[in-house]
Parts: sequence; C-alpha cells; structure tokens
Amino acid sequence: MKRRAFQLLAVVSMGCCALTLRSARRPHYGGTLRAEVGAAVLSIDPAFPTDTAEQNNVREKLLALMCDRLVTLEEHGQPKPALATSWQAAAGYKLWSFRLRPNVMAQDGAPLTADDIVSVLEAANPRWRIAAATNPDGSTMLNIELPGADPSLPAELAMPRNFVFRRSANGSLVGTGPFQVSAWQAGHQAVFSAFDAAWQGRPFVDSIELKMGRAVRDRLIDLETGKADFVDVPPDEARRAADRGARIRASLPDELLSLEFSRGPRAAEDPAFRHALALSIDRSALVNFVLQRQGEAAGSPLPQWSSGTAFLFAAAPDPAQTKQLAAQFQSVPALLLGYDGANALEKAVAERIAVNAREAGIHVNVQAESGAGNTFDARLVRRRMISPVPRIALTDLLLQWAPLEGADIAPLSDPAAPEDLYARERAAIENDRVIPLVYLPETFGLSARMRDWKSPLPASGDGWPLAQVWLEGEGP
Amino acid sequence: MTFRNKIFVMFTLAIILAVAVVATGVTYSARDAFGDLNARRTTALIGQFQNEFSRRGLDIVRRTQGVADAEATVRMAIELARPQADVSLYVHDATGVSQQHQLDFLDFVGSDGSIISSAEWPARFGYKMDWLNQTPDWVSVGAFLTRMDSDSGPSLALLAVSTVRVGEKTLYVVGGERLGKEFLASLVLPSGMRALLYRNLDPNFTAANLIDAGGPANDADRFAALIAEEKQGPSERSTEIFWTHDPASAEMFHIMPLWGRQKALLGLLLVGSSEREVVDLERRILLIAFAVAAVGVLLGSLTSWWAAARITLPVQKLAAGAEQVAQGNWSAHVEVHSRDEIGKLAAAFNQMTDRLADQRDRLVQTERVAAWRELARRLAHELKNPLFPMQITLENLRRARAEHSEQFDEVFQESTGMLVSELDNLKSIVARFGDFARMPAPILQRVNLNEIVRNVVRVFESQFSAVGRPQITPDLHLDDSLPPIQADPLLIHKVFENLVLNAMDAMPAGGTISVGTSRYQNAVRLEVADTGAGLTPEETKHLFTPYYTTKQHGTGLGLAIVQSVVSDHNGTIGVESEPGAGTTIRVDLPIAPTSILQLEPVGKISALSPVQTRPLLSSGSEDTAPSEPTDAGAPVASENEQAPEKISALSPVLPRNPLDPEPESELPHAAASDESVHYADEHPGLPQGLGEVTAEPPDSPEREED
Repeated sequence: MKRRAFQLLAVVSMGCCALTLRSARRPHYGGTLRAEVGAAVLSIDPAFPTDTAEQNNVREKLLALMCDRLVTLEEHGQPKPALATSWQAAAGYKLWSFRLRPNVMAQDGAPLTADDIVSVLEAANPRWRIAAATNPDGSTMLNIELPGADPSLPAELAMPRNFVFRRSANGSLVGTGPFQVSAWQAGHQAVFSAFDAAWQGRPFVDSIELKMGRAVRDRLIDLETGKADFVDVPPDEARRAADRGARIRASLPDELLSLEFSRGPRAAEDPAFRHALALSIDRSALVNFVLQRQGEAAGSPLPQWSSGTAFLFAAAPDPAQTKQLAAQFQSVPALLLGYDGANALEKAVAERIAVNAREAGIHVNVQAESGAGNTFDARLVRRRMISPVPRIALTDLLLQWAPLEGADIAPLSDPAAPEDLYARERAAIENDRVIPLVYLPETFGLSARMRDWKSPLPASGDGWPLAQVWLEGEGP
Repeated sequence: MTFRNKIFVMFTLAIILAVAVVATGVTYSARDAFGDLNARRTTALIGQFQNEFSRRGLDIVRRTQGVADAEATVRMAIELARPQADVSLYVHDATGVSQQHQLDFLDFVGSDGSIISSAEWPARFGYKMDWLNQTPDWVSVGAFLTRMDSDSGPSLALLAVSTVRVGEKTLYVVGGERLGKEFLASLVLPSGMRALLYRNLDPNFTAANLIDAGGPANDADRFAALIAEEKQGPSERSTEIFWTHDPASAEMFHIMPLWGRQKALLGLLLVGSSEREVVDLERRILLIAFAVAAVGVLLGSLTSWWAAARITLPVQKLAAGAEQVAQGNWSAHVEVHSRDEIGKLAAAFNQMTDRLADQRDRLVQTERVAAWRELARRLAHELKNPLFPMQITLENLRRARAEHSEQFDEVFQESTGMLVSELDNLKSIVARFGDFARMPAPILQRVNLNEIVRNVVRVFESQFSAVGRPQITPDLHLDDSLPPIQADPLLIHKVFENLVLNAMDAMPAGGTISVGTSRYQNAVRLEVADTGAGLTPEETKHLFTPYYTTKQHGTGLGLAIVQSVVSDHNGTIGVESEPGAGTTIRVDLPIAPTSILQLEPVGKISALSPVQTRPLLSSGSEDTAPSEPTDAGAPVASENEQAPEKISALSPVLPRNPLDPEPESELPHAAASDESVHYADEHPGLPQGLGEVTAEPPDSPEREED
C-alpha cells in the first residue's frame, strides 16, 4: 500500500513537472519586451517630418504597433480584412465601398468612428473623395471615389501611409492597434503598453520598452548580454552577430541599394561612362563580403521574390568590356560618389565600387555627404519598397527616379502583366542612370526568450510582429 | 708722397694684409671644419636612418610573424584550407588584428594571392597580390620597402611577409608600417638639420609626396628639379639649394635613394643641413676681422707714424740738406747723431758738402783768374790791332822828322790822319764793349712792332740801294691787326736793327730781306729772313754765344745783345737756317709780359727751334729786383733804372754753379776745330754779363759801372 502510495506520488510529481514544462513552452501573457533600435525617432506623428529614411522606417514600424489600416496583406500579398471587413469596387475600379468593422475601440476608450477614418485618409490621399454611409443593417460603409481606375486600391490601403488614427485633444495620436504609447521621450526611449481592448486581441507582452538612437555595437552587446530582446541589426553586421551566438532573423530583401547619377555634372552625363562603371561593379562580392551574405545582388529594380523576373537581369561584372569602355575615359575627371556618412554599410559599398572602378581604369572618389552644398556625380541611395505588390513598388521607384530621367513616368497598367513589369524595369535601368546594386533585407536580433517570431511580409506595412510574440519565463 | 707717408701706408697695408690673411684663413678653416662637421652629422643621420629602418624592419617582421602565429590566424588558415571555404567570413579580420598589433598595413592573402582581408583597404578584398607568389621563402627576405595602395592613396611602406602553411595551402600575412612623417619624426635631428622623404609614388614630381616630420614639406616645388634629376639617375650625392639671395639661407642636401626589392626607386631621403651657422660664423669672423683691422690700422697708424718719424727724421734732414745743396748752398750740413747707416750717410753727406764747397771755391778762383786773363787777352788782342799801326805811324813820324824834315809836314799830315783813324777804331772797340756792358733794363710801354719795323727799314733804305753796293730788296709782310705789346721801343728798335744788319752782312752779293710780323698765341712774332748762304748746324748752335762770329771783323756781340733784349722781354728767339737756303731769325715777344728781368738760370737756346732764353743776369743777385710792370704801356718802375749798374757790377764775378746744368749758350765748346768760325772769346769761363771794361781788378764784383 505504502509502496503504491509512493508510486502514485512519483507519477503525480512527474506529471506536475511535465505540465510545468509544457506551460513554459506555451504562449502566455506578461512581461516587458525590451527593444532597441538605431534610429532616433523624434515623433511618432506622421505629420512630423523625419530626417532620415531609417527614422521614417522605424516610425512606420511603431505606428504599426498602435494603429491599424482598413486592409492588410496576407503572406502572398493579397489584401485581407482589418478595419474593413469587406469591400467591393464599382464603376471600373473608380468607386470603392468598404464595410467598416463594428465596435472597434480606440485606445482612448471611445469607439473609432467613420469620420475618424475619413479625416485621416483624406489627409493622406488628397485626390480621393471619401464619404461614410450607414447601411440599413447598421453597418457603416466607407465610399471612396478615385480620380482614376485603381484595381489595387485595397493593397494601397495596406500601405503605411494609410494608418488610421485620430488625434486627441492634446494632438497626440490615438490608434486602435495592440499597443498604445504610455511614455515618449523623443529620440531616446518610449514605452508601449498592451491595449487590452484591441479588436484583434490583447498582445502577449504587457509592454514594450523601446530605446532609440542606440549604436549597433551597444545594441548587439545588450542583445548578447540579455538586456535587450529585440534589436535591429544592419545586414552587414548580422552574420558576425550570428557567429557570436545571437538569434538573427532577416526579412526578405525589401530595400534597393542603387547608384543614382545626378543630372548635369560632368562624366555622369555620358551613358558609356555610366555603363562602364555599371559593368565594373562586382555585386556578388558586395553581397558576400560587404553584406556578409545578407541580401541579394541586384540587377533589376525589384527583387526576385517580388517581380519574379530579377534573374533575367545581369548582375555579374564584365571586366573585359569595362576596360574596353574605360579606355576612352582616361582623361575624364574622377567621378565623385557620395554616400551617407552615418552609414557604415554605404561607406563600405562605396569604397568597394571605387576599387572595382579603379581596377577597371575608372577614377572614382568617394566622399561622405555632409549636408547641403555637396555636388556629387552619383550617390548611393537606399529605396525601400512601399508595397510587396510589384506594380505599386515599381511605380513608386519610377516616380522617384523620374527626376533623374528628366521625363514623366507613364502609368503602369493595373493589373500589370509580368512582361510589362519586366519591360518597365528594363527601361528604367537601360541608360544606367540608376545602377541597382543589392537588395537589402531587414535583419533583427532576438533574445533567446522571445518566442513565436514570424517574419512579416516585406513592405507590407505590418511592422514588427511584436504583438504575436511572447516572452519565455515571464508570467502574468 | 713723403717717405714717412710711404712707411705709414706700407705699415698700415701690412696690418690690413695680415688681418685679411688671418681672417681668410680662419674663415676657410671654419668652413672646412663646418663642412667636415656637417658631413659627419649627415653621415650620422643617414646611419641613424638606416639603423631605424633596420630596427623597424626587424620589429615589423616580428609583429607580422606574431600575427601569423596567432591562434585566430592559424584557425583561419585551417578553415581556408578546407574545400569550399567561405573567405567572406574573414573580410573584416585584418582591421582588428592590425589595430591589435599596431600595424598600418595588414593583409591576409590566400594561396592564389587573392586578398582575403585588408586593413589598409578593406574594400580591396578579392583582388590579387601576385608578387607574393613570386618569392618562395619570405622568411629570408625580412622587411623590405615597397609601394602600397590603400583607400587613402598610395604610400611608401616597410613590409614583412609571414606565411601559415596548412597542407598545400598557404595563408600569407602581410604586415607593415607606413614610411611617413612619423618615421621621420622618430629621427633625432641635430640643430640646423632636417630630414625630408620623397615618396616616389607618381611618375612625375608631386609636391605632396615630399614630406618632413611635420607633414608636407614647405616649398616642395623648389625640390622638383632636384628630385626629377635624381629620378633620372639615382645616386647618393650632395647638392646645395639657395632659398633666397642670402647665403645664410642655403642648405646642403645629401640625397640617398631608397630602393625596393627589385631595385625600384621608391623614395629619396634628403638630409638637409643649414648653412646658416657657418655663414653667420663667417660673418662674425669678418666683423671681428674688420674690427681688428680698424683697431690695427689705428694702432698701426700711431705706431707707424711714430716709427716713421724716428726713421725718417734723419732722412728728412738729409733730404733738406740735399735740397740746400741743390739750391747752391754747398755748405749745408745735416745734424744726425745716430750711429746707424743713416748716421753714416749724414756724415758722408756733410763730408761731401765740405769737399764740394772747397772744390767750388778753388774752381771759382781758377775760373775767375782765367776769365780775367781771357778778358785781358781779348782786350789786348782788340787793342793791339790799332795800336800797332799807331806805333808804326809815330815811328814814321819821328823818322820823318829826323831824316826827311822836308817831307815831315806831309808825313805829319798823313800820320795824324792815321792816328786819328786808329784812335777812332779804338774808340769804336771800346764803345762796343761798353754797349754790351751797359745793356739797360727795358722800360715797358705800349709799342707797335710794325711801326718799329717800318722805321728801321726806312733808316736802312739808303743802304739797301747805296751806290757801289749790291742791291738788297726789303720785303715786308706785316700784320696790320697786330696788337701793341708791352716793350721797350728803343731796345726793340736795336734788336731789329741788329737783325737787319746781320741779314745784310749775310748777303754780300745782295738779295732780299723778308720781314714779317704776325700773331702767335699770346705773342707777336717777328721774322727776319735773308737769302744769304745760310748757316751750318754748328754755326747755328753757337749763333747767340757772345763773341762768337763768322765775320772777319765782327765782335760776336750783335746777336748776343739781341738775345739779351728778347730775354729781358720774356720773349723767345730762334734760328732756322740751312746752308745755301738763307737764314730766318724768329722772335716772339709776349703781348703783355707778366714779369721781366726774372732771375732764372740761363736756359738752352736751340738753333733749330724757338727756345725760351733767359736774362743774362745771373741768379743769386739779391740786389737785382725783377721789374714789375705796373700798367700796360706805362713806364717801368724806377727800380729798373738801377739794373744796368747792378748788372755791370755783378756780372764779371758771377761764376757758374758747377752743379747746375751746363747751358749750351753759355760758352762755346765745340767750334774750335772749325776754322771758318772765330770766337770773339775763346775761353769757356768768360762771364756772360760782361760789364764795361774798367781799370779795376776783376775781383771787385761790388764795383759799379762808371
């Protein structure tokens, strides 16, 4: 009897231990996630201009924590409901109606209204005519009239510029997302608290403590010493961090690093010179050595995962043809290549380009951009995709490159056929005024206790998936 | 320049020369010493450079080997030796390792020579360092100089190569230091020296490649030619650069080529040594030399002046004594009491003057006796001719009285006639001597020479065309614009008269007397030319000598008087004659003589050209004051009226100074052999200023003419 009692006690104890271990592996609420980023965001308000693209990117990520959009994109880039539960187009995609999700509470405790949505979308899209209407069944409809047909409007509504929020009496943003700002120290740190009444459910973590403006070295040290759970890591540092044992996650590449020639100055106006320089660049070396195998060599404006045609663009150097072309430019003054002086990655890429060019017989001087007044023949420019939808992303790139080309961009058909996209991509880089170099991913360092990290769809506007992660070892 | 001044100048020059020699010697010695010092310092600095170069080379070899031996490097080599090794893992390794080992250059290079990681140029990964594979054993090479490219441009590097072998694969570790201003700064430079390094990184001279310990060298462009020349023919040599016109700015540069592994000229070490110190020292020496010379000259002046005074005082006394002797004071004595050569010389001088005075006195006495003898002989000769007929006449008269009384009256008449005639002859002789002795001093007044000439010619016109005489034709060429002169008209009249008479005597067969006057400089010229037989050179030479005559019955006093008068007027007289071509007498009389009767020694008379004659008065006559013309045309002062008396009194006793030059006109010398020439006075010692004959003894010079 006694022996049986001991056996029963042992079984119960083992069962308790198993349950305890299992409960530790299961998502649970609680805990504070410590995040560190390099950018120093001064304001989360989209109306407040940012200094750098990196700051703007982080701000969009922060907005994604506290705000929602009418529509988001699923993993294949197709729209899926968010604040809008359904939608339909009429009048040849010029008139769109979105049914709004009911009973969505904002972080100030008041329901989100259609007027809130109308005001913020009109501000972001001045050419749209937006109106709210209430159906007989009590649901609220948001009608959007476009100046032209746009079959991809739902995908556009998923873009970060269309975050929905309203302004409080003191001007602060009030969103409907999983987190709300509970403390904000511009440029230094912020605290995001879980919004219990979020329509999509409360996030696992109770709060996110965000430190901004942290140097790469400090971020990685904090990550390795357990003082940070989530840090953004430059792609070229990711591999070394991983070698040191850090958990590194990378997104699909959604940022194009390219060489863009200014209009007017000196050698940049000679297509042959630009072509010679384009042929001299060893992109694979940039990816393998400078980016430490993070990213992809870019021969086209859009990455392979987006367009599916990137492999058709040559990205390998051609030393023989380069030297043949470069022979006629011996007397041409050295090309002045500018880069963001605060970005070590750009500096390394620029210097590598100069080395490639020098070996080919082209003189390239690199110089950090130190503000206004510099006149560079070419610049290293990083352009992030605004959408995973290739037509939208390419259209955005073409619009940004239009000043370089000096010509208006013809609109892409919607939906765009792959061959049309290819042709436009080819045309965009045909005269080498833009030389795609590499596609850069977003890379993050995660602490060991952070669980259920799922990389979001690049350029989807979803931001960091911090609402889905939970912290191991933390309890309510 | 006096002897004293000469000694002073020589003494001073000697001091300056000595100072200059010393200063020059010191300067050259200092320059040589500085040159040697600079050469030693340059050699030492180059040695220091080479030692530092070697030391750093060894240090780089050690550090590079340390990198190669490091665990991480060995692990890298092992990983890279694996198939499909990922070299991108190590692309940043060199940067950190180079910082750890304080290397300016560090490259990890794979077996194929491809750069795996580069500290100096991180972006250069993947490119080749082919030269690494060309040397199988890098251990024996050690450190070497080479050109290295980096992201900041090419530079000069001191490199070493170590290897890590894993199986068949080799990992090269290339480490080094930049050879730049830091290297130069590590050299200990003496004062006034500097070291420059030219990095031969470009085909042409580039100023930025020339550096010193502080960075880019100043005035680098000034080295362009020098460096370009050195690049053409690299060799170790020295050259001097003048930065400005100031010699102190010059720098002596020693150039040493820096060679790479394959005898490539990679750089030039320039060790500069400033010339300022030596130039400053030379200037100080020069300044001191000038100061010493100045003090030396001052002291030398005083010393030499004192010494010269001591030395030259007896010489000055001797010179003064000699000057007195030269002036006729033969009794001059020099008071020198020293016993040296100067004292002996003074004693000899005194002895000489004593002997000269004694000899002069004896000579004067001898001459005086001879002169009076000659005068007596002359008078006797002159008087004997008329006396002998008179004696014969008186004897005839006595004989007629005794023997032929009936004829006595007739004889008496003839005899008295003869006696009267001879007495007239005697009177004539006496008168001529008297005229010569009584030559008066000229009384100057404004005189028209043409008028005198016309008057004389008018007087002689009857004689020119006298019956029984050959016809003589006067031919006058008178310059009517001739200015009046200051002269004695009577004496000038006498002069011209004598010249005309002489000309007439020279033409016994008749002829033409040409008389011309003209302006000649500040004088008027009178020329009297005849067409007679002319004179021989010997006759011409003695033409103005008293008592010298070529005529049978001449006294030889005519032209002597002419010369005397002309001389008294400060004029000149000359003769131009050739045998058979006539004779021309040329007289130049000053328009306004400044003085007459100046007491000067008798000068020479040239027969062939006009000469300045002298008054016949002898020098040393203190009683004969020169006549001072008071006004143009005015009579001479009353003192001149005393002159003839003093002349006659002084002249017979004046001997010539034996030390004076022998005047040619004083005495005839060489005409004795010429039979056609008859001396009126054949004795050479006969006084020129012969006074009127008196019965008094000749040794009474103070006696006035009666």
